[in-house]
Amino acid sequence: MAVDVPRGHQTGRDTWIPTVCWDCIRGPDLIRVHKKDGIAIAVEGNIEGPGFDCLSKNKGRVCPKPFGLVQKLYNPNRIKSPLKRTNPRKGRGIDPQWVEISWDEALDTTATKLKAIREKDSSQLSVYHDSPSALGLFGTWFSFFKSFGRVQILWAGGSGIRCGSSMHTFANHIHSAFRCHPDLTYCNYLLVIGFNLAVSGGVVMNLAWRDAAKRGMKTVVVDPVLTATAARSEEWIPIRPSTDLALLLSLIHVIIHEIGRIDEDFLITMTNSPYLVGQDGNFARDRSTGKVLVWDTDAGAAKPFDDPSVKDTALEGTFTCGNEGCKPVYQVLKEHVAEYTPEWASKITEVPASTIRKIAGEYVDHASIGSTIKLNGTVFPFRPVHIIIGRPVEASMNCYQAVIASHILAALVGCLEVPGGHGGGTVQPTYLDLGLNPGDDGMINMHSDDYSWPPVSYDGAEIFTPFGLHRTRPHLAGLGRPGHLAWLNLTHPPKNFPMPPAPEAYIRWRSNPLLSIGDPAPVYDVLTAMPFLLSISYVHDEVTELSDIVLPDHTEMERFELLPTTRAPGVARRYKQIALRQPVVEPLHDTRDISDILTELAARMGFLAEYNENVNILSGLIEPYKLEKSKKYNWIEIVDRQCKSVTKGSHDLEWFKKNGAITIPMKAEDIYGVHLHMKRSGMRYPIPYMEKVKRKGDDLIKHLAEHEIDWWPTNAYTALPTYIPCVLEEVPPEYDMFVVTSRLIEFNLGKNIELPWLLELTEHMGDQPEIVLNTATAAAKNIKDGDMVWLESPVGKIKGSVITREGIRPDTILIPGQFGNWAMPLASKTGWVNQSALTTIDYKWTDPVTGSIQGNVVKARIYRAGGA
Amino acid sequence: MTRYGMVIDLTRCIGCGSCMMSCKAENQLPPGIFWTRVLKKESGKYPAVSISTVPVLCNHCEEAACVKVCPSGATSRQDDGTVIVDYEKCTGCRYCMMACPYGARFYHDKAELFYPGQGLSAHDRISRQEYQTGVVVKCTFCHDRVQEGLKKGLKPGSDREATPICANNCMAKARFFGDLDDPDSEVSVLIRANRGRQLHPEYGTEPSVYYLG
Repeated sequence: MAVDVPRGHQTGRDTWIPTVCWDCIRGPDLIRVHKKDGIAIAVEGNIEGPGFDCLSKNKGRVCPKPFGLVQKLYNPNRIKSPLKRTNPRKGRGIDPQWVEISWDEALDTTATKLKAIREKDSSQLSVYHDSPSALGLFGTWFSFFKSFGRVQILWAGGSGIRCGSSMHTFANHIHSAFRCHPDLTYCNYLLVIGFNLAVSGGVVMNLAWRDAAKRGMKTVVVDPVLTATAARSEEWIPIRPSTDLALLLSLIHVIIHEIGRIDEDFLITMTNSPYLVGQDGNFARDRSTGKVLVWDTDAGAAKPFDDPSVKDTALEGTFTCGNEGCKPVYQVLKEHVAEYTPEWASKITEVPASTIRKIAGEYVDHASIGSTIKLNGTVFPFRPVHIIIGRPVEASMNCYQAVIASHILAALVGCLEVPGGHGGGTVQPTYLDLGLNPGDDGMINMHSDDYSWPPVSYDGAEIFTPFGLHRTRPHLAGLGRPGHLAWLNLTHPPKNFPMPPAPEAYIRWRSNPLLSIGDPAPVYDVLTAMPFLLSISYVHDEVTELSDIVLPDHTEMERFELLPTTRAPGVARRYKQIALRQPVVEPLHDTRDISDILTELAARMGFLAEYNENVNILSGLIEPYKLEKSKKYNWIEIVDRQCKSVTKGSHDLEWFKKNGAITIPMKAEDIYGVHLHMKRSGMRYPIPYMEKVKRKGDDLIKHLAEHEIDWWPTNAYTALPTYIPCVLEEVPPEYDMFVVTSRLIEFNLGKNIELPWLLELTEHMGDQPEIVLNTATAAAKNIKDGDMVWLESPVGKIKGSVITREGIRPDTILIPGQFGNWAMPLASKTGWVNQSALTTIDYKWTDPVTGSIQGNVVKARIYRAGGA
Repeated sequence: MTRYGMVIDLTRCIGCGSCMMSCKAENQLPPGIFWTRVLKKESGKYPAVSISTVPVLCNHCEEAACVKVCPSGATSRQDDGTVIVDYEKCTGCRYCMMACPYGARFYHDKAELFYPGQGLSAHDRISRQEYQTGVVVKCTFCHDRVQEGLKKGLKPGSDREATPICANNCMAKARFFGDLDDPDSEVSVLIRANRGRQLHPEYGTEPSVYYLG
């Protein structure tokens, strides 16, 4: 049978094209794509390149996801040319009556609309995109919007249930990390709290995890569900959902009050533990120099923290500085956690007190405080323990408290950024890395925005979440802000909160706010009322259904993109890598690269010069490869210039096309460079005492009172992690079940839910996103396997079929994956559900400090669907 | 002699399905068919529960029950120990499916579409070129790939281009391939050192797939 070969293909032989998979945050993984008679058919991990072999960080292995990228190329449901709506009526299930239009017409129409907004008020443009794909697009995507003016960012990541935003924000403040990872090369004890690393850890972490298990590392998983990770671990501790903070606080209690073994040297020299705190809860300062004081026991006096004459720094005790009583931070912490006993935590978490004591003991024992390791001639502290917290802990109510608590647990045993311990890392290329900058009082700088009024963002990020990474860093604009509240505020303006002018246009690239934030009602209301909605999308979905213009962009395997990840996270950071994503086939339809679309729009709107200048900065272009102001460049030219800039002229695009990537092994001095830099510079990690958060909070409380805003929770801006009951405790008791969600490896952070290969895989593995219920609970509620049921929360209800299992707490329901589609051609036929629709979007359901929504765990009741 | 076999380390497998997807794509299998599968089984009562995750595929048995019952001679054991179905000879009688104690064979009775009602996608076309209907299909240990690799002088199990794609891509590094007759091959060493076991050895089929852990 003859194969209908799309245009531009080579035919008649097998070829392999090197490229990358970065369909989730864990990549980019080096892959090569197998083509048969010009058709891309399969994927293999790529070890065939200069120095790849075992150096490629995925070691020639792949997860199921990149196969989706292959099948996506040939999806018959692809949007094949620009489309224009002809039906003015918008709504769910209403046919937009699309007509195909030329790129010129589509771009002109869009540019005219956007230009009018830019001339009036740029902030009336809202944008939304998905995060992983965008990471490589610092260059054009953010340049476009930075040049456009100040726009409203409604980012998928940063606040919703898809992103561990508070960890990104505060790990960045604490150790310049985008997120935290175990150092699985040396780690001997891994405590995993609410993180399903077997499905979302990616190739590199899973390889390292199984290697570590082989050499004897113990993994303990704390999770309401016997996850794939828990199933492979030495111990599973089923905790009551959304109570992890109590467990973390109790572990601190046990270590300080019961075990009493801590890394004093680390705490004294590398944290603010010895800093004296005054009666007002702020650091006590030297009157003349304003410097923070510590207590020198030898001299019996308070001295500035950096005074070289300090001989014996106190961690504990109560002292008098001037006329005021003061205590070292460690003493304050010790008193603060005194009430967080295992017996107290046990009542909240339903984890036995003896278990809490046992894991605290194992953690401290394995930390081998005081031991060292010599790597490449350098002696480092050796602390082979790590506590990972996952999305339900780091992106939910009280996640700020949990993130700080997890870092304090690292500091107590001195495992932060040292071999075996609690590592950090960034996914940003070097030229955008925020780095380890000195800040106040001898500590790493904690970027924060100044309070301002009136609000300029729909979500009030600049007011409520000053530690988010939003205002000054356009490429991180979605992180650490309450983005979900933008939709609520637009439909239900809060009291005494002057909303910025309503949006005139909305641009959405990939991503789906209707399914990924929470209760879709406010999102739907905003989108249907939007005067101009532009979707950049490869296939129709729930948002294109409401759009005015749809622009189809190249899919991942039709695009070029240079991905320099030079300080990649945790386990991956043993290698630096500069990798090229490249087309494995010529574009199959009349689509364009997202970057070319943006460049065209910038040119048509008349701000090409500004745009090019921003591309120079955000793509890391150096002389002589910088773009000229007035010239329009196509994306391939820009990528070529980026290849040359990143390699200082030694490699161009042609080289990368042939070879795929450069991998460079890192030396111990680089891998543990944060620790060495901190030592050399004498800088401290700003923990345990987040004094700046407290001061900002005090300031905020004052300002909110001035503006008579009483609806924003202000109790969480604490210097030390503090137990605050989760908002779920306030849900009426008839909603008796916790509903948790988890990822599926084949769809994790990807854009693959529309592909038969992966849908089939999910079904064959029995992982389909249906409603997973404990067997005994199902029996008590007279529900059987396969029954259709309703799950109903205070804001929404979803219908799905039940799978019963033993490996889940009796009070918990699991919905793996995120489906719930009604417009996507294939996904909407699965009947698979999405926990997100049960989530309340509200201020009270928001972590005040980081803006995260209580979305990973909600409450609902379950009952059989009538007639099923 | 050569006898190709596979070792699957159950203590490494995380049940990700990378093997299933790799096999499906590389062999361009039709809709609904996976030659290798990952079986998951929960046992125990809450909270003392465990999940076993067992990847399965054709065992390429030395005493293959399928070979014995095949009336047309379509199923045969190659010199390298690989059990192969010749689709030209297969009459679709499915005796082999009844005989195989491992459920590793699949009948391709009807050519389904990946996108029903939407015509042939590129992958449907390739799949239809490769697999006629009315025949029994199963894992070949990537026979063509291994043979191509051998022609280039490569060593199966050591060189990726001569190794089944499921073993190459397994993201937990749980699958190993090689010559069971070579006492120094990685698979032989692993089996000896870890007391590798076959699935249901009591059937007397002498599988070439061994499990560790």
